[in-house]
Amino acid sequence: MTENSDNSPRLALRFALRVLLFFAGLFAVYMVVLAVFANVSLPRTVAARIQKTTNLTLGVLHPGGNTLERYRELDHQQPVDVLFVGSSHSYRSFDPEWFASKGVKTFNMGTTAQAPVNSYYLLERRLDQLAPKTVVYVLFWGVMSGDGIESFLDLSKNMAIEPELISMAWSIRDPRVFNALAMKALRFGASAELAKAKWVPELDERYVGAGYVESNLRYDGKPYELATRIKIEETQREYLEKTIDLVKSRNIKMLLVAVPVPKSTLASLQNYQEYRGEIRALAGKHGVEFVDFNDLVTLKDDTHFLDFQHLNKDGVTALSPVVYKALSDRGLVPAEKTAAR
Amino acid sequence: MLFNSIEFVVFLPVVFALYWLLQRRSLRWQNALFLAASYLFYGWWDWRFLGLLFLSSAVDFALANVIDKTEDQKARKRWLIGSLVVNLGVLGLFKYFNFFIESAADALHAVGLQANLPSLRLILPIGISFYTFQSLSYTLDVYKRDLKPAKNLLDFLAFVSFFPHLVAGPIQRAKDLLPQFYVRRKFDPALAADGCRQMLWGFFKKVIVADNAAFQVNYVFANHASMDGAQLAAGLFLFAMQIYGDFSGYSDIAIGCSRLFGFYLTPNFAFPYFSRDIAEFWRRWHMSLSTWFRDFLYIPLGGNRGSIPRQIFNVMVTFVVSGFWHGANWTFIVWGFLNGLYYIPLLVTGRHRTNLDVVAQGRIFPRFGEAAGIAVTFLLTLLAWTFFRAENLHHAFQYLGGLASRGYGFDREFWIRFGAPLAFSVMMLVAEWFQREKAHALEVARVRPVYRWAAYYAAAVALLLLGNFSEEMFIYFQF
Repeated sequence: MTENSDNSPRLALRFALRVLLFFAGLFAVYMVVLAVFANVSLPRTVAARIQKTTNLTLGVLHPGGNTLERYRELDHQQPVDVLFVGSSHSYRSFDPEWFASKGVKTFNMGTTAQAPVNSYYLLERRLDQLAPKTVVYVLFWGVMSGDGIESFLDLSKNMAIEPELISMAWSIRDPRVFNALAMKALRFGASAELAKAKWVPELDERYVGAGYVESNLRYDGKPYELATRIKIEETQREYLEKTIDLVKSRNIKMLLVAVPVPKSTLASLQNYQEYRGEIRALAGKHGVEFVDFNDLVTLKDDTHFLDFQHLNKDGVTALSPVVYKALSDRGLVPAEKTAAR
Repeated sequence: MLFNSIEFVVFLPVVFALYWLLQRRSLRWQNALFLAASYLFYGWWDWRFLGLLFLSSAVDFALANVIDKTEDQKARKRWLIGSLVVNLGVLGLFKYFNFFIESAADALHAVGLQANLPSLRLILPIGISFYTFQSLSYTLDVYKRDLKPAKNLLDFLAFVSFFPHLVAGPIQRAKDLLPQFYVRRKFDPALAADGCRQMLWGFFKKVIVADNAAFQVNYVFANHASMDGAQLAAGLFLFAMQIYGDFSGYSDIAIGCSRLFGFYLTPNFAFPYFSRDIAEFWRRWHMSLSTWFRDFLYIPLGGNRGSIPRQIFNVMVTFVVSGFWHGANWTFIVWGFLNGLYYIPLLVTGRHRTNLDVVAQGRIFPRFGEAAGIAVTFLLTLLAWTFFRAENLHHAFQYLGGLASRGYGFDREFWIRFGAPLAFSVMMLVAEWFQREKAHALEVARVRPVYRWAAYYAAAVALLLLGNFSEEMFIYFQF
């Protein structure tokens, strides 16, 4: 340490300014690096490797999920009776044509791995536009245990940079989401690319409309791949509560649900009952109900499911009347009309 | 508050600015600010833990003053025992109570007796093992008359709660750190710059090496029954990298951060994986804990005085207790025991103090004998790390059994899964090898500015591109 007259505050301030300069330079260098990755075309395998190893997401569209089609349709969507929200458990489970035959107009805002931290901001933007009478939030333990990053990357690839994306990125606070936003902003012609983009379906599935995706595949018995011990992330718990409060503040009714999954999947979960108990308690605290459709319908693993966690077309057909009854018993849907509206 | 969080990114510059602005005002103000900042830092996890921190500190402050004023040796000893009882009692209650209850129940069950023993559902306060040991070292040093007690409670509270190292060390001896609170700190730009470099390196090790390794380590250990030998070996190697990157990374951040405020902390790691024997390893790994146990357990037991069997006893007790300090699980006790066993042959043959210099000093490559020593020492530590990481002894033995009996296939799937974290680990080891004669890998003040700045920017960009910022907790926080 120097022994001369003590000008520590001035030296510290000069040092702080040098550090600030370093961070400014770092920002500039980093933006250049991101701009290069955002605009260079790499072979698919190389891009996949980079994406797996680093905090970068490359490519124009995030595969899977039909988010692109859904949100193009959503931009022009008129008010609905029931709005379904959540992950792929949502958009693969409710057939709008079936509900329309009962006189109930629906839209499914579910997207790949959508977690409460994602849903909250999406709903904040769209609730007024869609003006639903009821919001049905489909809970999946996998995303309740997660960080919302996968959903963010899917949304950011398939949407323009909207305020809700920026708010969502700040709430998640991970380099991957900031990188995704920055790369989208730095990619030349990104908007035109998005406008021209065509989503290519995977597997044996089709986008039916109103957010619903249908598949005819049948589950081959491949075991459940994700973590078997459920631990609800604090962020997801916090945002689920915020979502409930948001919906209720608009005088919209709400129901939390879990859709059926194969029995073999349920059996592999170590603490599913404990998890359900936590969700019920959370729901009760906010004056909403949680309904687990695994309790209300018996489905066959090898007939009604597409894989270890999603329903196929037959499963949706079997589930639909059960869902409708649950909603109508609770006064959450309009009375049945003989013709669709 | 975690170092690798946005909250800390805001917290640090604010505290830095206020601290140096207050420097001209008075020392008391500087220490008061540091105390407030440290309590805010610690209370960010759970404000309820602050009470325990304050209680532990206040008790030792009072008792040390009493010990110092007391002339009667027996009375001094009684007050010291009081401090030991309070500190170790608190530690025992929060950390070890359920372990002893469960072990007692298991022992009774083994002889055919059933016991309905009570257990406590207590949250383990973060860093409790660190700050109780630090506070204990204070009363012990006052008792030994190596240190005069702190006259001012504020200074003492600031010393115990010193935020850069509060939750995961390095454990600072009171005679090293406490006097630094008695003098007005002066800002040294060169030291602060090196502090920033050390912090950058610490973040590299934590966020790139350790946290990326953690993901694969957790997967392998959780699914070890279905892994082949290569995957198990990779999982174990990556755990060695994870715990080193995590813990030494934290120490680097703590030491570097302290320098920003004009404090000097003693080093905690000196490139232990380049050790040529296990004795050298323990002179280079978690040095602050090793010296604590040496001074307050090993030497009072007799140290290396007395017969060989007595020395062996002293060594084994020290290693086993050290293992137990890490956690309330038989796995940590076995880990400590194994390390003690490794040490015994060196002690008995008088070769436990042969490798005191830096390996391959002045050379790029080690000699064959040195390389062999490094490899054998590393393999021995890997064997012991299995117990450290495993959930229980059965898990550890199953893991080791798999390593010994299953085939090793370094196929495409292996490299897809483990390639990146292995590459990051190798980068860290190579950088530290070339800088092994320095305090940390980024101690590069004498390198030409263009290369130096290129290294800083490369490290920082690498952090943002490769770092895992999922707020993975530092491993040693749980101790």
